Amino acid sequence: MKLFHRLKNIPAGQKYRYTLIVLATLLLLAPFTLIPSLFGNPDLCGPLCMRRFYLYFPGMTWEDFLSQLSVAAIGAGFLAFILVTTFFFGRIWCSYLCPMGGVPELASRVTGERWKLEYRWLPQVPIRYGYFLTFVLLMPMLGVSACTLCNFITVPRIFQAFSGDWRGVAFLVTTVGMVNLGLVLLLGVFANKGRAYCSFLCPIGAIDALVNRLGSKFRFTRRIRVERNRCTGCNECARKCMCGAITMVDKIAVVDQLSCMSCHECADVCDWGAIDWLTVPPEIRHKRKKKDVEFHPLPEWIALHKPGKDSFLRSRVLLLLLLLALGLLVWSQTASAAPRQMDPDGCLVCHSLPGLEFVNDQGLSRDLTIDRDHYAASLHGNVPCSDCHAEIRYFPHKEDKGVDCAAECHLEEPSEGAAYTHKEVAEEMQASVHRQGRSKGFTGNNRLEESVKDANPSCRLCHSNTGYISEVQMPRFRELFQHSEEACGNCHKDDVWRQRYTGHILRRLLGGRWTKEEGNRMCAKCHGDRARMSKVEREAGREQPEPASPRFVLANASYDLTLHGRLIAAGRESGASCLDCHAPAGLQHKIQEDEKPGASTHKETLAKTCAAEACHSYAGNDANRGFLYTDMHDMDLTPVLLEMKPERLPALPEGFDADSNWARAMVVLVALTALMLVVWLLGNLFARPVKGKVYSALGGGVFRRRMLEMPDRRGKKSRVVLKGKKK
Amino acid sequence: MIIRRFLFLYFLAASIALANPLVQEMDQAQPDAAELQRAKEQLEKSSPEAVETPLFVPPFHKRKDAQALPATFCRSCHQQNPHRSNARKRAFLNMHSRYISCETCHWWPEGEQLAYAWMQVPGSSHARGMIVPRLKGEPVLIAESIPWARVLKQQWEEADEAGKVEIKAKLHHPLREKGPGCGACHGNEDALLDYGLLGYKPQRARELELNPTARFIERTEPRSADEPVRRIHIRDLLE
Repeated sequence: MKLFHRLKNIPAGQKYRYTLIVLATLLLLAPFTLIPSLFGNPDLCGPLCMRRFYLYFPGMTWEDFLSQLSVAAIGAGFLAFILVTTFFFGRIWCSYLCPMGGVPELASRVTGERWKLEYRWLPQVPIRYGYFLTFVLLMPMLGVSACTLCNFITVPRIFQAFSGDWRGVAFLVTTVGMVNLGLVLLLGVFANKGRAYCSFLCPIGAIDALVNRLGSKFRFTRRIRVERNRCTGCNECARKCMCGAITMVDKIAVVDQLSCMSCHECADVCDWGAIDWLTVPPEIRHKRKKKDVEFHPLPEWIALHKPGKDSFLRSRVLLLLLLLALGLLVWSQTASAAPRQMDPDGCLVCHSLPGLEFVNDQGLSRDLTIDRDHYAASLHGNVPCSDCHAEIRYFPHKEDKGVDCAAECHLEEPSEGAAYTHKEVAEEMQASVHRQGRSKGFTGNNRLEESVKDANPSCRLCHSNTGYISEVQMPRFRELFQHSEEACGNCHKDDVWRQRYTGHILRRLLGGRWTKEEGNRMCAKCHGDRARMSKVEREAGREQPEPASPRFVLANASYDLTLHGRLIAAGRESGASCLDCHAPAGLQHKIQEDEKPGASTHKETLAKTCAAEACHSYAGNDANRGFLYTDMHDMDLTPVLLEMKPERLPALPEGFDADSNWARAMVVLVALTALMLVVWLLGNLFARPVKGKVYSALGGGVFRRRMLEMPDRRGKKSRVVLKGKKK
Repeated sequence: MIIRRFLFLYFLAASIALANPLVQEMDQAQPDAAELQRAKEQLEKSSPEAVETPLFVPPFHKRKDAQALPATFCRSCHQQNPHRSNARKRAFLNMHSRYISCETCHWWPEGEQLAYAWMQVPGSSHARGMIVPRLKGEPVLIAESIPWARVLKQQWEEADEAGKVEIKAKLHHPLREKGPGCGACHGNEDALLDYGLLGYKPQRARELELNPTARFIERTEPRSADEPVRRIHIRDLLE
């Protein structure tokens, strides 16, 4: 019942504020996630992240920064918008809309003061900017993920967990999740006024506060400002201020614009209208008399406080540029290239008939129809059937030896005149971790056997006979093709030759057939299947085959939790895909185990791989060695739930690394929580009960003394004079 | 109870009204011992379980999406690809079964003259439905949805081993196991189906009559039961 009582006692203006926070929560967080889903993102991470793009890595160039910016373009745009509103109206985003600070604050509001820890007396500004510098400079240098202490992950996950999404629960039971949950509880729910995280750790808040301070110098901007001549020194505003931005200096409230969030609570509780959200700096020219009745008696001590000299800059016209991004829906058409080689063997006479199907002896339904148009426009469109299906010459067909991908076909490689073959690719694959995979003997009949039995990927698991130009690139291809007719046609008159040549060159220049997301999905087809992966015996590079380790089995799950994985899952090409790191240019089919020298992920070559074009060019910088220790398959990030097996439920999961930074952070936080709990308990049991207003369990006394200029409870001075509101 | 009786009477009436000659033949069939034995053998060596597709390893060449199948009574047991044993012809026959009803090839009532026509069948992917036989102007096709078929399905599910053998034998009694060969419709100008009457344009009708694929397959037909299958060079197909 106390809870309802506390809710009821919230001032009317603050109720409005909390309503906005709840609305923002509904818009931004689970279960609805309306705004993030506008950008195709399930949470506030990845492209929506507002906290990562200004990280500085030693050796970073301007291009690197721009690429970081483009990765999180939406988040950066959002932050810019916040800063603009802050400049004019104060940090209203923080106080009125931010659910990450607002939700713990609301929770703290309904928690009794006896439970709480007081942080507001701490030197906020040094701590905040000290941590901000650590966050921007030191943590990237040490290779600690910026997501470590981020409540933009945690609060959404809590909502996910409560809206029945297992991912939320799974995150909260990881080490990182627990550390962050601890932060939300210690610096949010159990902090007095619930905004300690915002005051100390939030990097957005740190930047925003600078803009707030800058804006407060201008005359036309709205800020919480004090009318000195009205202030009675009752310290009610300072006591209620959630940011600890108000201190009593010589019994007059002073607002620290580096900490104020313009939540208006001070204005709501001030009976004298001495503090308010004002544009013009208040001066003493207010009417104090109406019909000869003094309604704001001038306190005796007012003469002591002369307002400082104006140092406000003149207002000037500021240009606001609003960029409207127009989403263009490109209607891509699945048009095929001109039909090339027709069917010299006559196979398609029968095989192009629609509905040519039968059920074979294994009970597998076989579809014999080849889509003639698709085949003609496909990669192998000018390879006759018999080049690959070499054994088939007669009808009815005998069961043949199957297709050999490394075989030569009748196409000629024009520069050398040699027969075209995938032999080198097949050899590359034989030297990779996937060396057991099939590259020959493909028949329609053994597809079932391959699907069920093979542990390694075959050529055809990843590759199929797709269109020569992928559908995504078709519009661009058409455009360039059109251009080439005009540009090249002046000299090269032979249309057939020119079109063939242009088509081939353009196809190569347009590059990748797959988006990174499709590439990852292909790897995840096997590596994301935990049941399949746990059966794998890893032989490559080992004397004895090793059973799959949890790190190997969960490689896909742990990758999905990294920024790389998230960006790609959100459809951004800026993240590194599986292939970007494990099969970079030059090693495309030669994916090798990390331990093997020459592998792209081997510790000697890793810096080069990370520094690949448009990625982390600073990775090789000596000042930056820590960066390479960033674990892209961090088992500590991987939900413990995923690998829990009932028979070993009570033990720590196998992949739990007790030496990791996460584990250490957890130890510290657990110890800290335990200490606070003990202090609180002892205080409740043995401390002398204090009459009157209750302050927070821990730190309340210091707050009274330092911020409110109230005497120590233990002191002899009477508390009555300065206590609370005068009524 | 009254409702049930009414329902029964309704189904009875409906089934009599809708009964077609094939259904009547099936109902009145008296399978002999040999037929029963054969049905028993076939039931015993039931076909292997169908493998669920798509497989983990995708097909290399692009495949069309599965097409809807006409909802005929035969399909409720024989499913998507009923022809299985003849490796040479099964795929071609299955292709035909998309738009030619089973009755067309497997039902030859004695002493009757049949005509053939298109008929719309629910679920058929062909624009004009299926080709069905017509007896005295009435199309003969057992749809999956008629009450008789539903009653029979119920009986089949409740029947024991012997019961199933009997039902199977009765159902297949009026039918012939082997239909006419490819040459009956393709490969000569005196085709079984009158393409003109079926609405084909003269040129297409001629293409169908002289279809090279069908004649090609006919050439691989063994002359006698002992002779192995004759293999022909595919190149010859291009003639």
